[in-house]
Formats: sequence, C-alpha cells, structure tokens
Amino acid sequence: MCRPDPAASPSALASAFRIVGAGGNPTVDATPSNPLTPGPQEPLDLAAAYAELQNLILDGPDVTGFLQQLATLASAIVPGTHCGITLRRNGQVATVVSSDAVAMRMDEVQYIRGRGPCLAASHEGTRIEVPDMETETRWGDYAGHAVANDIRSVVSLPLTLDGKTPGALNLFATTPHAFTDHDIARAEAFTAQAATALTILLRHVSHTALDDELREALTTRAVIDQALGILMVTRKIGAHEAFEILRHISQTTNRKVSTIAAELIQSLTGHPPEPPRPLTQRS
Amino acid sequence: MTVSLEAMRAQLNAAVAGALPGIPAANELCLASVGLFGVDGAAVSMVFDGTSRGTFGSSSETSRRLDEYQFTFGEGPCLDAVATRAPVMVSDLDSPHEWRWPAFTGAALDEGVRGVFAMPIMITSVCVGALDLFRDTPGPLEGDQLAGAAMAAHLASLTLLDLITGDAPGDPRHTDPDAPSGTEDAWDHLADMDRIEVYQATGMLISQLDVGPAEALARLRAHAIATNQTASQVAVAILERRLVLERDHDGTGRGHQ
Repeated sequence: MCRPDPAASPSALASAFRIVGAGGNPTVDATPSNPLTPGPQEPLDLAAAYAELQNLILDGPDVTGFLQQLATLASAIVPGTHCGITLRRNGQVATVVSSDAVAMRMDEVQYIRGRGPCLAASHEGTRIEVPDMETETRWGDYAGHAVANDIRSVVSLPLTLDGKTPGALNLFATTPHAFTDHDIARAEAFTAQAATALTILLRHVSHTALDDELREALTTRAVIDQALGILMVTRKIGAHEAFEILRHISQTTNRKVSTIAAELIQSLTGHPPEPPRPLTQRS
Repeated sequence: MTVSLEAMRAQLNAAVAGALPGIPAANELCLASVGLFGVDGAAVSMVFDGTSRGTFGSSSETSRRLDEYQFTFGEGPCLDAVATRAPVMVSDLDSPHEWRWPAFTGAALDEGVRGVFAMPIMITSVCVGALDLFRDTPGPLEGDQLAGAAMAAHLASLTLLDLITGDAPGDPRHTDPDAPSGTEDAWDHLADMDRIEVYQATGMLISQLDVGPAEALARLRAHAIATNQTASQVAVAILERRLVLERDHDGTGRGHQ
C-alpha cells in the first residue's frame, strides 16, 4: 500500500533538513531560479504572463498545478507582492495556493477571524482595495493582525467564472500604497485572463472530477500545513520560518513544496501522505 | 433513481447526525447508502496503519460477511481502493475478464453479488478505509449515484475518526446520553476540520504525540468535542501554544492549558 519513493528516504531528507537548519535561521535563496519570478524591481511582462498561462492550459487538466503557477505568476505581475488564491468549495472558503509564506500567513489570519478583504472580494464579487492597513477600519481587528504580520496594503480581485464567483486572487504588499492604478489595472487584466484560462481548463474536467481536483488541491495544502506544524514543533519556530525552510529546500532541490512536505511527514510517521486520485469509473 | 445530489447530501447527513458516534453512525450511513445508490448492501471497512482493521459498519449481516471476506482472504476491491486511494468499480464480478481477486470473487458470487464498488475514505492526507457497495445485479453505478457514493465516503471519515479515537473517556457523548452528538450538521463538522489552522495543529500533534496524521486529527477533534469547542478553536490554541495535548495511551488527548 505504501510505495516509498527511493529518492525520498528518511535519511536523505534528514540530511537535507540539517543542511538547511545549520544556521538555525535559514535564509531563502534570493536568486531567481525560475523565469516566472523575476527580480524584485522588474515587473513581469503581461504578454509573457499570458503566454505562460496558455502553456499551463496545454499542460493538461492539473488544476492544482495550474493554480500554484497562477499564484507565482500573479505575484510577479506587481513586483515585491505576495499572492494567495482563495476558492469556494461546498460553501466553505479555503485558500488553495499561496505564492509564499507571507500570503499563506495572511490567509490564515483571515480564516481565523472569519473576515477580511479576500473573503469580501470573493463574496461580493467586487474588487477590494486596502491602500494602508494602518488606517483601515473594516473587518474589525483584521487590519491590526495584518500590520503585525508586516502587511500594509492589499488588493483582492474576484475570480469570476461563468458569471459566478468561486474565489478571489489576492495581492499583499509590505508597504502602504504599494499598488498604483497602473498596477491594479495590470493585475485586473491578468486576473481576467486567468479566469478565462481557468474556465477553459475546468471545461476539460467533469463536475465530479473538478470536485476531486479541488479536494486534491486542499489535500496538498493539508500535507504542506501538517509539515509546517511538524517543523514548528521540532525546530521551535513559527509558521513563517517553517514555510521558508520548505520553500528553500524546494528551490535548491527543484522539487515541489508539497513533495518535500510529504517526505517530511513520511520520515516521521513511516507512511507517505498522498492526495486521493481523481475519481474515474473503470470496469 | 431520481434523488438529487442535494437530497442525497441531506439524507446522508441525517443518517450520520441522528446516530450515536462510531459504529452506529457507520451502520446508518450504510443503510442510507443502500436506499440512495441503488445497491443491495453497504459496509465501511477500516484499514488503519495495518494495526486496527476490519469491518466496522454495515447495512446487513450479509454485507458484513461480504466485507469481511476481504480480510479473510487478504484481497478484494476495498483493500485495492485503500492501497491505490482510488475508487475500484466492478460492474460484474462474473465477467471472464475479472481475475483480480479469485478467492474473494468466488465467495461473493456464492452470496449472489455481481457488482462491487469501493470508495476510499480519506482523513486529512491519509487513506484510512473504504466504503463498499454491493449489488446483486451487474452494471455500473449511474453518474449521480457515483457522486453520491463519493459524498458518503467523505462522511464516513467522521465515523472512522470516532473509531480511531476509540471509546474515548474524554468524549461526553460516550458517557452522557444527553450530550450533544457534535454532528448536528455532519457537513459543517467536516468543513470545520478542513482548515489551514487545523492542518498545522495536526502537524504539531504528529510531532508532539508521535502519531500519524489521522490519529493526530482524531485527537484534536476528540478534545474539541470534550471541551465543547470547534476544531478550529482547539487548533488555534495549539498553534498559539496555549494548549498542549498529552501523549497518553487511552486516546483521549487530554489537554492542559
């Protein structure tokens, strides 16, 4: 039942974690190892982003992978920002993917508090802007938590598919007034393209399979979050640092964060956590 | 069969929410499945870490016996569904092309079963069991019946969570007949556990209690029920290090603040 990946032996993983943790405070490799994440000062060209979107569709109906790439692309549209994508499923809102730990942490705050710009954009289907968290009064203590997490401005854009709003694309920045009108226009144009791409992608999968894909995306999140929890205990760090460790290993070994997370869980429990396969009826 | 998916969802919820947690709820879920998906029998198998395994809920004695054949012979659709974490659909066991489980197939055919459909049951990131549906006539599950069976398997994870926690002394539902079942809306209950903070707290428990993901979630949930909180509230307390669940052997995960 368990088919251990030979490349994922606990000892190999343990040594990987030792290397990363040697200084006690891992630093993320700032050198872009991926053409989708250009340097901090250089916005990603929209035409290049659209071309990349098309490539993602051609790659096949992997909704999870698509969304993850979408978040990475979107965070590159406005340099220096962090992106989270929120989707509604069975009435429940969940962040399926985040470009990095900052976006992930903000989403956490929002779900714990039950309100915030991403939920508002998703529910109301309209763009929500927060130019400066210091003076923001909507959503109760959300702004205070955002500032405590070093987030100063937010733009949440509804992801509209077939006239319905199943979610939102959220951009976070650590400076106030980080988003110019031009940035917002670019982000909206990209989000519209992304929604179209996502719609095309979803037409390839049936409703049952779609629910499966979303469930798989959430299961992947479960694996990543469980791994974060493990690191938080074993290394006595917060979720942010834990995510940076996973991300660093992912970048240096060129493997998915979810794969690293699954290996960490396997090294501790002896069982590989894996998302369920898509639901297909076979004879 | 013209039951809508929404109606299936409501009926499955009522079956689980109306029963005592654990095996009674699993039995009710199986009975509801028989009524909704055009099958003649249903059973919930648990295959958890290779240690506790077997048939836990069923719609009838025949279904229980059919399900147990898989553990007797060490083969069958349920075990394959768990191993592959994918549904295993057998529209006709009597087909000449059906050679996967010679011992199980022979026994099932003797009981008059032709169709078997096994849906994996997931708890967080691991597969802990399967919902098995048995039918006396050959043929595939229709579209909505298949989607409904997937929903039933999702709900079955709640009943298996109860079983993993065991007959937890910390759970008032086991000692106080008037205690809230904690599953008035089983779907809400599942959604409450499907959250970032719950998964991160589960990860912390994996490390602190030296247990697997499914048992970690079961401990978290048992504490939530015992203290009348939501899973999310307990998770936040664990993440903020206000609550530490003790490593113990009775499965209650008793906490101290």
